[in-house]
Amino acid sequence: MRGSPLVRAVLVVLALLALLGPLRTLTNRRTEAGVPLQQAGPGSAVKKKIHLELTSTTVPFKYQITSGGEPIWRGQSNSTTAATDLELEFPPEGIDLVLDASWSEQKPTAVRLALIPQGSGMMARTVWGTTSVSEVMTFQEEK
Amino acid sequence: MMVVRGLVAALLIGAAFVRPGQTAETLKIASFSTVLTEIARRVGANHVSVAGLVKPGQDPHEYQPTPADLEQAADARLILLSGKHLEHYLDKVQQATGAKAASLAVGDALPTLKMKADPDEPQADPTGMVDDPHWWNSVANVERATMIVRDELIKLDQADQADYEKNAKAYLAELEALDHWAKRKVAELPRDKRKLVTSHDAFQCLARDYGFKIYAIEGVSTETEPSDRHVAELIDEIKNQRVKAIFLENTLNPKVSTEITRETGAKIGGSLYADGLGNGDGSTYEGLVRHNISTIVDALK
Repeated sequence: MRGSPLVRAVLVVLALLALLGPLRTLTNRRTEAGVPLQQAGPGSAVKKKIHLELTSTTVPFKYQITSGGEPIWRGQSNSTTAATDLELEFPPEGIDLVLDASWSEQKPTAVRLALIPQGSGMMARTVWGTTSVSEVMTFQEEK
Repeated sequence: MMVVRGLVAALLIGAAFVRPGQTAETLKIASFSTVLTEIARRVGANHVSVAGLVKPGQDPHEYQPTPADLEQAADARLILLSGKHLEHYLDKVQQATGAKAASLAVGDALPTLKMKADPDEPQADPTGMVDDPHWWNSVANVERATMIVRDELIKLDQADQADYEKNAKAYLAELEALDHWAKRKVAELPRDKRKLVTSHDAFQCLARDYGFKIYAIEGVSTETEPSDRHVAELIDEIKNQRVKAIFLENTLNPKVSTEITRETGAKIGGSLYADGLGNGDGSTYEGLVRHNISTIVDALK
């Protein structure tokens, strides 16, 4: 390779800078209908990758999932299903997720929150409401 | 003549406001539970007059009725008892009242939660277990108790049934909202941190409803002193489980709890209302629950 060492170093730095944009896009994945807000709740349990899926029989609907007192995922969905991937502490005692969802149309609606920890089976809870739901849902892996 | 006419008119007008079966007298109730006193007052409202014989802040495990209390009980049409063997003075109440008043042990109609009995507990079954008498530390149980009291009031005073139903419905709605609030507040605390060290074993119902594990310094009753061995085992457990805080109670001497914190490094998380309503925050049932849950969650976070 020809050229001065200084020019070569500058070229390497420029190449790295050019890669920053695509790398950021790949590592900071956004879901179609919402934004994961927090990667982990408080505590000392091991963090696990968790896939969350929210289904509502009425659309559009607004939603927020809270863990450990902090919102971890919120958004609005025009389709019946929204999904995201997060990392959460998941102790053997299980986790409590608070689901708040609302929709403008007044009609009986089922809202289902499904949770799939990496390497485990799906756990799901369903709640019914007329204009909104607010529910604490407990998920615990089978021993 | 004018005076007589005036009196007749006044009587007729008065009669128009009295429904059939209604009398000016209120239904006299004597209550041996601070929580039942609140329920009876909320559901009965102006149709009842409730004498709360166990006072807020008083330890129901150690309460003994005074002659004045027994007189009030003897004068009542309904006696409300906590049940589940809490009233060890029940024979005195029965002697004082005879068969005159209806006696309702509300806790006996609620779901039973078995727990390890104190060594000299006379009510223990052959396996050494006893019914947990602290049923009010579950909001769901207080909802059930409200329905039991409502039905008893209706049985004794059918004329005011509609009012009892309306008042109970309003109180039940408040309790439901309270339980919802408590569940959300407890959800702030990760489930692996829900370890509750308390002065005596009074929170099994709360533990069942909200996913806590209990480590009690004393047994079911506040009258039992913890043994040195039990305290030593508890200190080891608190260290192993890395429990951040332990809790005192409004009706107990905090001496042993304070010693345990010194040994384990855990902090005092605050004082809880274990045995019913107290003074200050816990002077109402809603205040009691909000105080207990907030104190526990905020200290263990």
